[in-house]
Amino acid sequence: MPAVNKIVIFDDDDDLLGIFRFLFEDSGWEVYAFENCNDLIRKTKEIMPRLILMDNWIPPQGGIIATQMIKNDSILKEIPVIFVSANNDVKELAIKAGADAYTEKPFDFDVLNDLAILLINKPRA
Amino acid sequence: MPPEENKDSRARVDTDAIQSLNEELTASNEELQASNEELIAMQGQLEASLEVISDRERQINAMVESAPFPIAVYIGREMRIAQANKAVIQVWGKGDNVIGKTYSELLPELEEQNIYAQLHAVYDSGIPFHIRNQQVNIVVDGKLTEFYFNYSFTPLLNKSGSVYGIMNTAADVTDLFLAKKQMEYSEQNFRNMIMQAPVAMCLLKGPDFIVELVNTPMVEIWGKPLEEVENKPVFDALPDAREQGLESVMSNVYHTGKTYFANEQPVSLIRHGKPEIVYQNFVYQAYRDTNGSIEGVLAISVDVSEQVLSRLELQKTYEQIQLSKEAAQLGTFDMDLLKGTMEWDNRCRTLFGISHKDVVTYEKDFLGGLHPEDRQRAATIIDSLFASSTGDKDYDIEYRTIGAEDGKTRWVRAKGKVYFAGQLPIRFIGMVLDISVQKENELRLAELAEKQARLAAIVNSSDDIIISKTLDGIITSWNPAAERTFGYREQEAVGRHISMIIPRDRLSEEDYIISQIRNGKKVDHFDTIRVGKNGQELQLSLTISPVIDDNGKIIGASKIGRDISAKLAAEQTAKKYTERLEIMNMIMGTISAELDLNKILQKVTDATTNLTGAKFGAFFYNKTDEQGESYMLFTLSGAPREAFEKFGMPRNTAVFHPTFSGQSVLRSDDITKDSRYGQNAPHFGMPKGHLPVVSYLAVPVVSRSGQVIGGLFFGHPQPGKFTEEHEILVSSIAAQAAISLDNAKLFEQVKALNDKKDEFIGLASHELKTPLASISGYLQILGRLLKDSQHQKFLGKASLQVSKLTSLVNDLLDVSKIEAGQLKLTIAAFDLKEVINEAIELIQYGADNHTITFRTKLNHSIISGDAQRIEQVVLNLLSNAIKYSPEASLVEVELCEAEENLIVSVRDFGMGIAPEKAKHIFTRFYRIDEAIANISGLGIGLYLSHEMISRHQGKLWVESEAGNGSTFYFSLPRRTDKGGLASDA
Repeated sequence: MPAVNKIVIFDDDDDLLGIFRFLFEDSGWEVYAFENCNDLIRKTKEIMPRLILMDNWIPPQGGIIATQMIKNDSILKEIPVIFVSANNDVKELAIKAGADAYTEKPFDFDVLNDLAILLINKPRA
Repeated sequence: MPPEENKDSRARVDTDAIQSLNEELTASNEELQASNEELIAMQGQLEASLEVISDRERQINAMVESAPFPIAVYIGREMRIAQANKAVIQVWGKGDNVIGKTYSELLPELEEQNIYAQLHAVYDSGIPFHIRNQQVNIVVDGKLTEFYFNYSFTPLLNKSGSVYGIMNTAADVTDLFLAKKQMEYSEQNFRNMIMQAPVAMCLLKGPDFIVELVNTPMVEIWGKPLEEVENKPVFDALPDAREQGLESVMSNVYHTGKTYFANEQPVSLIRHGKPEIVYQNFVYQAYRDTNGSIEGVLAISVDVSEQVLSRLELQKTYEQIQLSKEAAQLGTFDMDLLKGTMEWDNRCRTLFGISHKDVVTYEKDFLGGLHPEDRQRAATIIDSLFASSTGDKDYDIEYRTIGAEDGKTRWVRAKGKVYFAGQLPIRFIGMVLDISVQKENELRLAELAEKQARLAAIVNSSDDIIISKTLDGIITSWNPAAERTFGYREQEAVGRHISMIIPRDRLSEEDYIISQIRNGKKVDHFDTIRVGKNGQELQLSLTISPVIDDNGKIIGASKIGRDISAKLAAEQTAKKYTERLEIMNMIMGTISAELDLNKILQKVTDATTNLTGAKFGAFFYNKTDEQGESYMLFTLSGAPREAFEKFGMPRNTAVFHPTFSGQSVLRSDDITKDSRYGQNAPHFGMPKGHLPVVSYLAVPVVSRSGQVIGGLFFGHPQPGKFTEEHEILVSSIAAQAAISLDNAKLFEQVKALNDKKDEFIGLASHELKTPLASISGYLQILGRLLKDSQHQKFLGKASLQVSKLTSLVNDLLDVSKIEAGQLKLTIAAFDLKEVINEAIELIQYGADNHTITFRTKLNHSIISGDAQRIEQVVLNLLSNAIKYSPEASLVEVELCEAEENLIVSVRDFGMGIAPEKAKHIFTRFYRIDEAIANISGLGIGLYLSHEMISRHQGKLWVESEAGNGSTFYFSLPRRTDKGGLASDA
């Protein structure tokens, strides 16, 4: 890996944030984890990650609006967003949010990691 | 006709007499002619002799003496007879001694007869005197006898030429003269006879038939004045007769001498200026002269017009009788009781069914031809007629005949009379008449009378009004029911016009009814109104039929009416009831379909306002909010909201009290006059600007629990607008509205609860899955940290349990979504075979004791649907198959094609399902009792599968038998199009 892949993870659950951090770092990612979306755009712009993992249940405004904010930002919009939720209708939520992919909770990290690799290597349109 | 014959024969006798007379006359003429000739010859001789005499006197004297005709010579003026031959002496009859006597001495009787003068004249003048056929009466044998002489007195001249004597020569022509006289007399007689004959006679002379003699009767026949016909050719005088061929007939007689007889010859003549037909018996007979040559025609004619005409008249009368007999179809019979013969005319025969003309007999044809029931009676009557000595008994009888040939029964009336010679009946004459029609009519009338009597009884006892009328509407009958219903007695009604029971505004109905009747049409169940005597209106159902006479002519109408006032009232009530139900049903339909409280209120308000015809309507509704605080909703109809808002909610005033307390309905024709009105401060009546309410209706709305939930209020600016009917309707609707409102309230509660449930399930699943995600995550971290294979094995088992738990949570979540209708499918084309393979692989991984086989012949199994959901179904079926066949080791999966469907079957060899259970297995939370003891599960798998397949327009079913394993099938339509599949929407 010539350059370190940065990933920003938004999840309100401390345990899961820890688990994501461990697993992604274990897989060589540089992980930036946040419990909320306060100052979302600024934080993300500072980091400029290759990938964003967005939980549906994220304060204050929730994952859908957060994702839409990212996707409406001219600088951030190219960054792939994986939508994560414990809700059964994660797929619909992801589509609504304008995310690039989604993952149910509980998740299989190998599958998630493969998806992440796939997304960052996807040629930009 | 004897008189006619007599006349005829007499005419003929006369003719005969004339003829013989003619013949006689002719003969005499001939004789006379001969004598004359002889005489002339003799005179010649005499003259010769006289010349000689002077010379030979003696010779002459001798000759004179012997001359056969009288010759005498008188000398001197005293006429002394000098010479007289025998013939003259004989004539004189005075004896032979005559010579020397003077003429006057000898024949003094001639003194008076002018003869002396004749002699003297000849003697004096010397001029001879000749006379013919001179009557000379001479006394012969003392008796003056009449003679006729042709005689001459010839002067005898002496040589000096003076007269010295006279020679008298004579020829006794007495016989001749008498004969001639006789003849002349005959001729006169003939003429007289013609002229005086009572029959018409005329003598027509020459080929032109000049009328020489015609008597008055003939002139009468001809009808012309005598002067127009006399001495004229008859056919010029009577040109009509010529044209009728009489001229040629007459010419024929004239030329042939054959007498022509005509009998009753009609001759048309212009008589007295008028054309007439004269019937004549006439004879044209040749009229001959003495030589027998035809000189003319004697026509004798008898005018028989009178006889002929009267005979024709008679004949006409007879024919008329015959005709009228025929017209009356009278037949005649004539029985000669002496000879035993019987005459029947054609008509009579017809009545006995006999067509032949042969002899008929009393026994066989008459008695035999009678109807057996009438035979004895007729025979008895006729026998008694014959036996009746007086003979004045008339025969008048009716009997039936049975046609001898046609077998037809006829009714006959016979009339007749028996004629007697003394005590003996000799003749039985009479007439017969066919009275079958009359008789049938009589019988029919009798029958009719009976029928009518029966009918009358029915009509009289009928409860229905039965009236008959003429086509002009005049009442002709009126039964007791009509009397009862209309109040008019029969005597009052009959003869009056039907319009007396028709209301003024319905008079045109009668025109319609009569027009139908005139066309022979019946008017059926005509519901209308008629008026009774006291003016009350009666609801009637009429059936009017044409009354038709025997000839099929419509002469009137019969009207059957039934008083349907009661029926109509009932119908009206039923109709009202139905209408009310319909209105209510309509309103209920709309309001019960509605669960939105405000909409219900508005609809009820609109509907009831409309229904009552109110100008304004309002529905005030008490509502308690979630906080238990009471407030009031209201809806309006017919008035803007602002019209109410400024007044605030109605207060519990005297007027409103009965409504808001649920006590009673308040309905007032004019609320401003109600005692409860205007009692309350501050307005004491309607506040200024209030809608102008006069008619007022307020209905409380009370829920099933008895709680007053509101009130319906209606107003109208005019008084008396609301009826009891409105009150009833609105009350009914209010009751229904209360139910609907209760329902709406309940529905709101249920909906709220349901929303809460969904929210809860969603939350619950999130809250469950979040820790599961953490556990799963930690297990995965551990998996990366622990290298010991034993540790890895346990980690794997823990992970499997986590995924089971996750799937269970997901299923529960799906159920709740299905319940809420929120299950969404993501439709895309996918390969069913691949989905099945993946599911088998997944299940096989955790099922060590079972082998799952998959069989398919299909190469192509792409269908449209939610692949994830279909996989969920296959997984569910496979895990069930394994779970419920713990003893077995095989699960067979097959994919095949049937018509437009792909069918997937999952077969196990386990415990199977009893049929009565099989039908429940797709029900939510259903679990087969027997299995429950040792096999776990929530009973949602098959329910979800069934729902998933149904959502894909497929079917899920099972074929099973307890103890023999089960095969679950599901079919999916092979369409790859979007059609019919529910998508994300």
